[in-house]
Amino acid sequence: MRNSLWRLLLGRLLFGVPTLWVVITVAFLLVRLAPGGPFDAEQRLPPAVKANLDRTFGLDRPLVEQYQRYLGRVLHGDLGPSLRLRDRRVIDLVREGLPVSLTLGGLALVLALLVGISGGLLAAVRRGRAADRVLAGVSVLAVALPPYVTAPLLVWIFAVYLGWLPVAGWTAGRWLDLVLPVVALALPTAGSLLRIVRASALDVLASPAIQAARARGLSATRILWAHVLPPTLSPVLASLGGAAAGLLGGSLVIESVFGLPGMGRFLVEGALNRDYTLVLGKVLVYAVLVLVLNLGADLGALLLDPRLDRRGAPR
Amino acid sequence: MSRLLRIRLTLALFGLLLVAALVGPALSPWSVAALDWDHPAVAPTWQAGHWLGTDTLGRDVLVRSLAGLRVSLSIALLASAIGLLLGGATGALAGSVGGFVDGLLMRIVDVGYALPVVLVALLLTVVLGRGASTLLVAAGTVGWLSTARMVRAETQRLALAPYVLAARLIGVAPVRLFWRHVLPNLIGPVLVQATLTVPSLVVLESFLSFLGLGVQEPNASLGNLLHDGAREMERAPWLLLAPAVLLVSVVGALTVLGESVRDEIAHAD
Amino acid sequence: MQTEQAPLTLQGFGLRYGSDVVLAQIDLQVRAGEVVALVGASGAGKTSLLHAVLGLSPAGACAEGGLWIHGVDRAQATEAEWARLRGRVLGLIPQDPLTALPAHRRVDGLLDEVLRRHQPTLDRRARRAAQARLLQQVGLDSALRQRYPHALSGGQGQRVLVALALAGDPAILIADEPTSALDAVAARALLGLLAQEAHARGRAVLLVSHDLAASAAVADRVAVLAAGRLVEVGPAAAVMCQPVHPYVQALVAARPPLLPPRPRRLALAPTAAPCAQPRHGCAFAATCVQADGRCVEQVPAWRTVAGRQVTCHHAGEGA
Repeated sequence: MRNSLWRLLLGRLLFGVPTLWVVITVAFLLVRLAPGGPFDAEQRLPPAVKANLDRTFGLDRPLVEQYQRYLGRVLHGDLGPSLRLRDRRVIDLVREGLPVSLTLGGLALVLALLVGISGGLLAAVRRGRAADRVLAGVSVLAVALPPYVTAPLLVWIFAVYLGWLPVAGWTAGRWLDLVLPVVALALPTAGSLLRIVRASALDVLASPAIQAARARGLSATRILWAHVLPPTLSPVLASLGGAAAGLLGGSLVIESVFGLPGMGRFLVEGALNRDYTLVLGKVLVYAVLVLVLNLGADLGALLLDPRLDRRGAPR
Repeated sequence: MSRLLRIRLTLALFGLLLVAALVGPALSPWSVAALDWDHPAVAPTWQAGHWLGTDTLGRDVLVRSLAGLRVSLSIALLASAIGLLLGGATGALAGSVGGFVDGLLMRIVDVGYALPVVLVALLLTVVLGRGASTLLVAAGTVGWLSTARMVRAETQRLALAPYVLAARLIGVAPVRLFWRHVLPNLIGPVLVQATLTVPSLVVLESFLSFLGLGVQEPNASLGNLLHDGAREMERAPWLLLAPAVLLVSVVGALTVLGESVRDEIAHAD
Repeated sequence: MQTEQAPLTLQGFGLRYGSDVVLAQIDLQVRAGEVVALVGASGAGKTSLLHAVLGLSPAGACAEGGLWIHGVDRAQATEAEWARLRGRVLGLIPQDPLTALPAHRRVDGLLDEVLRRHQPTLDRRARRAAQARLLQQVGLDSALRQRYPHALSGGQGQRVLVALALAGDPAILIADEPTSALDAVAARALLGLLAQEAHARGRAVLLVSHDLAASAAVADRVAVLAAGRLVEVGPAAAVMCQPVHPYVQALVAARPPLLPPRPRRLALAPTAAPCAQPRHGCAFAATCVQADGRCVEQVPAWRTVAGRQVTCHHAGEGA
């Protein structure tokens, strides 16, 4: 097992580095080849000022040289200065926003997994009964309702009407601030995971292995945890990449609805007013996050299904 | 509820929504951008003729919601059509040619998977500015990835199917083999994929429009209607309700439809 | 009768799904120390019978008549009692090790799990010893216990399934087509193992199979099931060499031509299929040349002919 674990890690690393390079390059070219620049926005700047700005940020150099410089900087962990936010470096913005976004996204992912897996299992075990029907309806709603609709709704109910939780805001260390954003962000992912788990668990429950386990007289709880759950989780792991993408998109919205100082901050504005370095830098960080999560999913799959481990094959 | 009944019901619901979105706005005396200064922000009422009320500028919510549904659906359908064609072609090519071509195409797909579609849309906004076309390109560039993977796997599986082997043994040429024996069997799974892609693209559209990157005022889409509705939720909840119900119905109907058809195919034998 | 009851006793047992009669009038006993082969074509009701005996019939199934497992009456058994029977009194050997063994569990984990459930007093070391003993009992090297199912051959996997069924030391072993995934040599060895469990350890073994010849080779008695009813029950040698019921004659004649001579004239073509679950009359009334009005109207009752039980109106007429 350990052997193939290392092989997987190495393979992912060997694949991840060129992937990131391709992402940087394509993103860089896309952004730079677009007509217009960061400094020809609303009010016309005097040509001398603009030239000065371009020189400061190296925008007057040939594209290839800009590209080389950017790549070199990224390798040293520097994502360059923000072109629009004065005196801010992108890496500092990332450093500020990442903990907030990771907390939000991580908690939402954990919540979505807990709710999705337990709900999906419950629906499958209670197939066709009241609990199954209710969960089926709720999960469709959760999938279809985007977080920016549920978020204000939740705020209105729990913060304005009941007054239990804060409306918005972020104070480090105040966990109550996190409840509503995390729940709103987790809902759609939880809904889709629930549907995946239900379908998968139904297939597993109908398999001869489960019948055999029943015939062996094992207890219902033992069968559920040790025989039904692990094979049910394989498709969940496969969908984790998609779930992460969904959470990421959702986190941009949630951060803006609740005014959280996360990674999404300045990102949309940056895209609209051509803050190249800011957009590139943050997109790059997000890509790394997605790759890391996919690696985690692969490791999980290896643990759940020993058939993927080539070493155990019959000799 | 039996699976077949569920398929029929969701299909009927989707058909109803589609017809309403297509002809609904034309039947109303109001138009998408028409301002009714006498009735700004009125609640749903029969008297003024605004069955679902008006927004703060006096525009009819029913008409705007249906028109928004039309815009959202058009974008989603078009984008998933692009995705299906591009992904289908790539997947079929990779799956049937194999070797170097396969490896190259699939690595491209792998790289694409590292970039969530929202980020692609953000990048493209820098290049193309904001608007429906950016949305379309973003959804198209990312939507083909999963189709490509699925079609490739399916093509490889079909290439080993006994009847394809039999056809090969009697000397059917590769091109004809693909055309007559593999392609027809790809249509089913691809259609299912499409039914599941469209709702996710409707949600994506609403996401990006909500962030201000998609469809722009005065045009309506479910996304920017929901954006306005969420802002006015306490004063004028009907602004949020109408587009939210439409979004939930269309996404819910297509999701359940796609899943039911997929299960029906999977458990047919 | 109740005092000397066999571990597995069915008396007038039947099973319905709504209005579909799947099994009717099943009379069968499996005694301690004997192997009874339950033979029938697919769709005859073998699997339904097996599930009913394990108390695992799908929802919507309606059982009637008598079924006693180790003296426990089906009609009075609660789900908790069934749960106590499974594994400890009833052992199931499933059909295909590939699908019946969970891919994510090692052999030792699976064995340990069953031992913990049925022999809770054993400590860790005792369970390890029990594992080794079980593996040895089914003829497996105990080094195999560190393997995952995909790393076992078909025969090894099937033996692991036997070991799992034996872990609770059940009085009754039910084998569901245990050889269908195996090659001929491995199949024969496995059947030998089952016979040994019956003869040497006194278990009642019910061997469910569609292969009459192969199962008759190890079985003490053979029961032939057709269209949800038993048509002939008797000693294996008698049923194989001189089948009485036309369907069984056809079944015996259909196997590869070796050993005992075929009957000259058959009442049923070897390919004749029974009509699916008739409400009344004999299932073969439409295809049997001996059929007359009685066969169409009356369900044939048990008759004793040449040392076995047969359900055919014409049984014993020719002899």
